[in-house]
Amino acid sequence: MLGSMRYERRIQRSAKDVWQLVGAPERLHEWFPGIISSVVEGTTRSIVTGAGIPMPEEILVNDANQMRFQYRVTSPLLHFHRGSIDVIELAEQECLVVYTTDADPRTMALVIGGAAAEALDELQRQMELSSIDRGNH
Amino acid sequence: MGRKILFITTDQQRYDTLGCNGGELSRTPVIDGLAAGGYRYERAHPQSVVCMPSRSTMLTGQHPSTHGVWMNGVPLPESAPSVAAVLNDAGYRTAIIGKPHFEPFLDPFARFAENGFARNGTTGPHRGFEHFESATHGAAGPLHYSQWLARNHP
Repeated sequence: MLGSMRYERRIQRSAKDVWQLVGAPERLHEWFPGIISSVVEGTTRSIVTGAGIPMPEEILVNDANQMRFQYRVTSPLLHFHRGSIDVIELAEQECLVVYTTDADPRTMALVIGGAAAEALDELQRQMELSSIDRGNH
Repeated sequence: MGRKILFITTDQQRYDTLGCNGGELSRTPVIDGLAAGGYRYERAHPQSVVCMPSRSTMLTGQHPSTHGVWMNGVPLPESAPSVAAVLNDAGYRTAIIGKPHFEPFLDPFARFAENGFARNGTTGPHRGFEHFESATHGAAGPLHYSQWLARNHP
């Protein structure tokens, strides 16, 4: 059975603004604290983690209409992985961001999911901070 | 300040591997000498059979059900009490050298402080220890000893 983790944050910023960052896979390291670089070539994203581990990924879905991003880590560290990030509009200046991690071995869902939760915190911090800068509050 | 304290722990060692506990295969004359001149507890039990929970109990004085480290891979909360912090507050200089493993080794995103010290060129402070210098079983990984090995014996 897969391990499955889901975290979500309600962010006081328009879904469109949040998607602009979340839907740009080459900018992952800007809001994911445990990742120090991310390079995209076609549907392949190569990230380097904070521990210096290179991790190849395949981008599966990057749908600006649904505001859904899906990817999988193709490193031999995992038998299976799928990460999904959904940005859901709640109001003009409010959205819900849901980050789901499914993985085998199950432990890796905890490892990646835990880091994803911290990434959502950082995304919320950046988005709401820059929202204040723009005078939305 | 009271007397100096040196607390030595070993990993994965049965009690009967020591000569003072009846072991005949290994020769352990130094520990046997310490045992002969000190106390040898015959009814002491670790609070868990695996190392992270057991070591967390040594640091905190709490049962695993209280400190929350119920299995290897579960991090000890940074807010957990620490005997090292109590001693440090009382004026002791405190250091840990060897295998702390209060935080998971499986940490590709380097979320846990223990795994970042060697890479950042620092040695704490952490969990009440002014000096925190870590190692684990193997020669690879992000901890101080493996980084030293990679630098000096590549």
